[in-house]
Formats: sequence, C-alpha cells, structure tokens
Amino acid sequence: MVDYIQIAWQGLVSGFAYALIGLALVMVYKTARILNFAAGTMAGISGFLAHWWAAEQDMPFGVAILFAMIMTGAGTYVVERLTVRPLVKLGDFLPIVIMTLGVEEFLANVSLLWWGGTARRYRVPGDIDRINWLIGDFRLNAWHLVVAITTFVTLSIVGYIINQTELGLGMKAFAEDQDAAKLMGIKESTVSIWTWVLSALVGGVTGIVFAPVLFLQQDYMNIIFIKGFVAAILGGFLSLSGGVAGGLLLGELEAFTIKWAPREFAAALPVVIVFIVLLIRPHGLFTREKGHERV
Amino acid sequence: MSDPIYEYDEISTTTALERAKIPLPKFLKKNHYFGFLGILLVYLLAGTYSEYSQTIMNTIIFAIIGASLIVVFGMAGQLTLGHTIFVAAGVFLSANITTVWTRGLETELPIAFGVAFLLGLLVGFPSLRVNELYLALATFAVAFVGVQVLFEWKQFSGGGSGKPVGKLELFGYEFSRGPTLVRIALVLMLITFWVVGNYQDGRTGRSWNALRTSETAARAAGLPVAWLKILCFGIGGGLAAIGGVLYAHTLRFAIPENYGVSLSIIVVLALIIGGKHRLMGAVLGAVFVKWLPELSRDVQEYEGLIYGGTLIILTLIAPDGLVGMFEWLGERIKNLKNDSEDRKTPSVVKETAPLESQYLAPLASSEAKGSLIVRDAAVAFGGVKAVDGVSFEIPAGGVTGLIGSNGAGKTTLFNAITGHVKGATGQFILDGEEISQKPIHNRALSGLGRTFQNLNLHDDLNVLEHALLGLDRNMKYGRIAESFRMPWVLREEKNAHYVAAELLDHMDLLEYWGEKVEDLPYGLQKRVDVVRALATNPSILLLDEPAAGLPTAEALEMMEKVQEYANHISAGVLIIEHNVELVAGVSDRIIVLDAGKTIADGTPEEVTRNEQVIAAYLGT
Repeated sequence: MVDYIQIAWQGLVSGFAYALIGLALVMVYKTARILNFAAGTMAGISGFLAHWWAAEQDMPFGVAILFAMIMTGAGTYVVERLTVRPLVKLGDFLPIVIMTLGVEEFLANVSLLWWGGTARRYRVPGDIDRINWLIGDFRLNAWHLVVAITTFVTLSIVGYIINQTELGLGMKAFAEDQDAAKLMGIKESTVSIWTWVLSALVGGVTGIVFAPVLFLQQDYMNIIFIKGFVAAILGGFLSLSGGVAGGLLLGELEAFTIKWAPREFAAALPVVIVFIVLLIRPHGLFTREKGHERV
Repeated sequence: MSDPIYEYDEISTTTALERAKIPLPKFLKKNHYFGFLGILLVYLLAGTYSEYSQTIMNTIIFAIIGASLIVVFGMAGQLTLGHTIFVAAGVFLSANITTVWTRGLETELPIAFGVAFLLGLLVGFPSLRVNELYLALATFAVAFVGVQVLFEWKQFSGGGSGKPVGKLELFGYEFSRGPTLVRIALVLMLITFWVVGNYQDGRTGRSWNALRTSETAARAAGLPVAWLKILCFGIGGGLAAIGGVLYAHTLRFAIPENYGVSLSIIVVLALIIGGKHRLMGAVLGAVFVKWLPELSRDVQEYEGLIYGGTLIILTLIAPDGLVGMFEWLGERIKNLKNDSEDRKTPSVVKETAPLESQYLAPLASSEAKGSLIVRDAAVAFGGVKAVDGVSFEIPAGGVTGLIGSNGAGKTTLFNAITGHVKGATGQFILDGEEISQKPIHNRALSGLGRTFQNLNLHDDLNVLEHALLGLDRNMKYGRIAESFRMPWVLREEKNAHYVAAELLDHMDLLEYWGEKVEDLPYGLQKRVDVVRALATNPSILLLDEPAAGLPTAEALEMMEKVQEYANHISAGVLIIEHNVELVAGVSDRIIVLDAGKTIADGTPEEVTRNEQVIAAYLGT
C-alpha cells in the first residue's frame, strides 16, 4: 500500500512540473494562438541563472531567484517585442511558430556556450534536497515538499491574476474573440506582452524549483516542455485548469507505467497519449467540443 | 476591367493556350538541365578535393532531407519537427541490413523507403485532427520520444553505444567510401530531386499546394485532403530515409542520440533559410548549414547561434528564404533593365467561340445532368435552427435561384448539401445517387461544384492552376506514374492545360492566367472561384453570391458566361443572389427561404408577386 502511495506522490511531483509548463503554454496559446517553442529553453535559462548565481557567484539564494525572475521577465519582454510583435500583423501564425523555433535554437546555444554541455548539480541552501523524512515506510523528500508548495502558490497567483485583474480580463476577452476584444478597446499588444511575460515567469519558477530534482543540464527543461505540451493536449489546450489537471494526470500515468511496463513503453508514453487523445477526443479530456466553423 | 479585343473579325484558329503563350509541361525543362549540369560538375570533381568529401557528403544528405521536407512542409504546409525519425529509420535499418543480413544498397534503399513511408503515414495521422500549430508540437514530441525509444531498443539500435554500419555494397560489388560514395549520393540526390520536382509539376503537388492555402476549397474541388495529408508524410518520410541510408554509410556508425530533436530542428531551419518552396532552397539551405562551419573555427563554435539568428532575421525580412531573396533581386534587376514597358500584362486576342474549340466541344453533353433532390434538410447551431426542414427538387439542367434575407439559411443550406457543415440532417440525392453520407470531396467527385460567398481561393497559386485544380476531378493518371514523369502523365497534363486555357478564355480570364490570385482585383477573383467550380465539369453548380459586390453590368456579363458554359455541359445551376433583378433575369425558377424554411417556390413572376415574399424579403 505504502508502495502505491510512494509512486502516486512521485507521480504528483513530476505532475506539478508538467502542469506548470502546460499552464504556461496554454496561457499564450489561448490568448494569442501561438505556441512558444522557446518556452522550455527559456525556463531552463531561468533555472540556470538562479542556481548559478547562488552557487557560483555567492549570491543569497532568495536574491538570486529574484534576479533570475527579473531577467526572465525582461528577457521575454525583449524577445516578444523584437521577434514576435513584427510578425503578428501579418496575420499568419506559421511564421511566428518558426520564429519561436529560431529563438529556441538561438537561446539554447547561448546557454550552451555559457554553461557548457555537462550536467551539474548545485547545492541549495541547507541541502534541503538531501533531507528525507520517513513517515512509516513512506519517504518524503523535503525539496519535493517545497516543489508542492511552490506549485500551489504559483497556481494561486496565476488564478488571482486571471480572475481578479484587468490583465486577466483582457486575456479572457482575447481568448474568447480576438476581433471583438480589439473593438472593445482592449490593446492587443499590451495583453499579449504581459501574457508572454506571465507565462515565462511561470516557466521560470518551474525551471528553478525543478533544477535540484533533475540534473541541471543545458537542455534539462526540454523533456518537461514536451510533457507540459502533452498535459496541455490532455486538457484540450484551451483550458487553463484542464492543462493543470492534464499535467497531474500525466505525472501519475507515467509513474505507474514505469512501475509496470517495460522501459521502451514508458519512454513512448507521451506520444502514445497524444495519439490516443487526438484520436478519441481532439478537444481534450475535460472540455466540450466547440461548435461549427464558418465557411 | 479588362478590355478584350472584340474588334478582331477573323476567327483565329489557334488555341487559347498558344495565344496566351502558356508553356506546356515538357519531359525536360530548364531546371532539369541546370540541375543535371551542377550535379555532373560535382560528380566529376568528387575525387579531387578529398579533404572536403565529408562536407560534400553532408551537404548532399541535407539537400535530400531538405527536398523531402519540401514535400511535407513546403508544398503541403505541414510543419513537422519530427522529420529525423525517418532519417533515423534509414540509418538504423541500413546498419542492421548491412551487418545482420550483410546485404547492400539494393536491399537497404527499398526497405528504408518502405518502412519510413509506412512510419510517415502513421506520424501524419494527427495532421487530420489538429491545426498546424498543434501538429508542429505533436511531431516535436514524436522526435523527442523517438530517440528515447531507439535508445531503449538496444537490439535494433545498439543503445547508447550505437551500432556499426557494414560494407558499402551494391549487388555484391563492394565500393570504397570517399569519392564513390559521393557519386552514389549524387545519383540518389538526382533521383530524389527529380521525383519531388515531378510532384511540383503534377496533380499531387498542385493538390498539396491547394490544401496548404485553403483546405475547405480544396475539399470542395474534390481533392481527398485527408489522404493527401497523410501521403505527404509518407513520401516525405520515405525520401528522408534515403538520406538516412547515406548518413549511415558516411558516418559508418549509427548512434541514436545523433537523430534527436536538435537535428530535426536544424533540417527545418536549413530549409526555411534556403527557401521552402523551391528545390534550390533545399540546396542553398544545405550549403549554408554545412559550409558555414568550414569557414573558420570561430564559426563552428557559434554555429547554432548563427543558424538561430539567421532564421530570426530572415523570417523578418525574407519569409521565402535565400531563394526568395535572390528571386526578388533578380526581378529588380530585370525591371531596371526593361523599365516599365514590358510590365503590363500582354493583351491576348479573344477567340470568339472557345466553347467550340476542340478541347471544350467534347464536354458538351446532350443529356441534362444535375437533378438534385433535397429532403428535409435541417441544420441546427445550438438551439438556433438555421435550416429547418427544407425540401425541394430541382430537375436536371436549368437555373434555379435561391433568395432570402440575411440569415435565412441560404449559405447554410449550401454547406449542408456540399457537406461543409457538421451535423446536417436530411437526404440529398444528386442524379439519382444518395450523397448525404459522403465526405465533402466525394460529394464533389459525384458532381457537385460550388463557389464560396467569402472568396476561398488558394493564395499562392495562379489563375491557370486554379482551373487545373478543378480539372483534377477528371484526371486519370496515378501518383506513382506521376513520380516518374511517365509519358501519359505529361500527355494528360498537356491536354488539361489546353482545356484550362480555353475555359479561361471563355470566362475572359485568359490574359491573367499567370497572375497570382491575391494580386487580382475582386471582380476577377470572383471569376476565378467560378472557373475552379466549372472546371470540375459538375452535374450541378452551387453558386453562392457569385456577383456580390460587382457592378450590375459586370455581374450580368459574368452570369451570362456561366450560364452559357453550364448549358454547354448541361449542368444544373443553383444560385444564391441578393440582386433580385439579376436572379430573376437568369433563373427559370426561384426558391425563397426565410428563417430556415421555404416560403415560396415558383417562376420568377410568381415569386416576385407573392405577398409573403414581399413582406419577408423584397420589402415595399
């Protein structure tokens, strides 16, 4: 029994990562109909910056995180303005996706040049990630608890922003109908850029908090990015809560698959899920099908 | 508007195609000579610069992969980031076949192509369900996970340490690597490019281009969009696997981690940098990516940075890549030379009776087609019944008008008949054949032609290609024959060109045959839409406000032409039109819809006098 609880908890922790990245992807897709391929790399750079500053540049951990978040926000702001904004008025989304691919290639190589290709593990204050509590037979890692708390705090903040602030209202308006929202006087470029920044910050938090769980490697967030995308598909890609739920579901599925199925299958699980979901419910597990398309 | 030269009295006996100087498809064209020359040059030089043979090999491989991506991405418009799994399939199949079976290229190439083709059909499957953004990520996931699966599947791939590749053999003859390998690669590249080029000239490439720019319209023209989409992945995958086989022999060692996401992205970047619509783009992209690092060590270190940066800049300034940039430059230089004299579209002598030409005359049919029976057609959007139990029967031939106020359900009824709206109920019988359960393109193939209220053209295609797209319904040559440019393919294509030209001539579009539709004025675009529908040689033609936004004179002129053609092929016409004067003028019968129901049905005189119609629609 305890065995199962242990696996479920493990799945939940990875699920948190998928859920957060899924949320970040859905956010931008929902408001701007853009997929940001650089999302994983950007989150990875945030994680690297924070831990590198703290461990190698002797910055206090809190300050390092704060700086990393500021850098993430500012960097995203610049990236959006320089690369995405000029293409939006063309009205075609494919060039924007290609652009984010270019950005991802560029940034991935920047971080590769900066930190090199080797995996490293930085210490966190108090070596929290090495503390394990035993509750009966159940082993609880202290850092996993930190991950859980951070996830909940992040989700609450995002929920608050979306439901209680003007930015959130604008995002909802754009998600509903781009043209109508523009006619109502909501400024598209403002909503878009803050959505990007918010999404990058959520990604940044994920990158920072998961760095001690995974090894810090140049592309360590890519796998989380893929699985966040699977989470978003599970949730129908247009529902924020669906993305989060999809992430948690994927985490659990994965944890139990690793236990029971051969390794080849566990590795292929995300793609299998994508195929099955697209085959049976292309609109996601939790949302209802949209109406007709006008010809 | 154009000014066709009517004052020519003598009837010219030439065909429309010759008058407009439309080039016919030929077995060998200019590109073939250039391509062949270039490849011959490299072939002869292959042995001379042995220190570069590795780079040359990589360039050739990238060019082949690029050409395979042109099929998937450039033509069909499916952004795929999982293309390296096909390359990987080629590499590891090659490694296994050469070491385990100890067979040579004659076994490797067909098996690699076949397996990757099937794999491609599988990978292409999600493209049916999702939009292009989704698809990009889905294929990204495929690439990512593909490598992991390969990594774990040690028996096939050798796991992390990889698998050695056996000898380079062909029918038992062993070849040394180096220059010979380069030459083999060049021959394979020649074949790949030839095949992809053949698609570009044929119906498959045209169909891919069409579905890239408008799926809805492509379906309406009778193209099997779903199959075409899956097929592009199959063919693209198979060709990429040929690149994979060459990769295996160049590297002599197959390691799973080489074929991951980053290679997937690089091949796409290379093609976009080169230009994704032209085969030359695949070459330029490959040269850019493979020769830039040769320039200096510094470049090597910043390789990825430069690719990413170049892509960002090119996407902003030259979306069609380096090829697009050169073409643009070339055009500028040409314009400088010629000034603006030759810029005007050359006017084309108007033939007085294109319908009697040897190409359109055989289409004449004495037997009237297009009897359409609609029974209890209903469409509901949520609680709103847009079409509510409409029934009517149109006898074969003749023109029937469909009028009604905005929101009366006219277009929705059309969409129900053609299958463009989901959840329509009722029975539709065309020429005695029930079509209610068929998908859109099969209804079109049964003989339903339609135009769209909001123009639905293929932006990147020119006017002639729109006509050819319509003609696709009656083309017979197969896709395998097309791949190899068989003589009968060319014969049929030539004939289609002649027919298309006459049809354009009939609709007064001949002189614009080479213009891209997005550059045409609105009135002409409307005509192109009609031409595409007419070219399918339909039994019944559904025209959705073909004259909306046109001046009455122009609208009348066009309607006359359409009617003439419809009479010629004995097709029935059902036309939605707001201009009551116009519709009363051309129709034998008018059906009036209001709030999804038929409120009147009769001759134009009866209908325009009907009080209910006057109250609901015509006003006082």
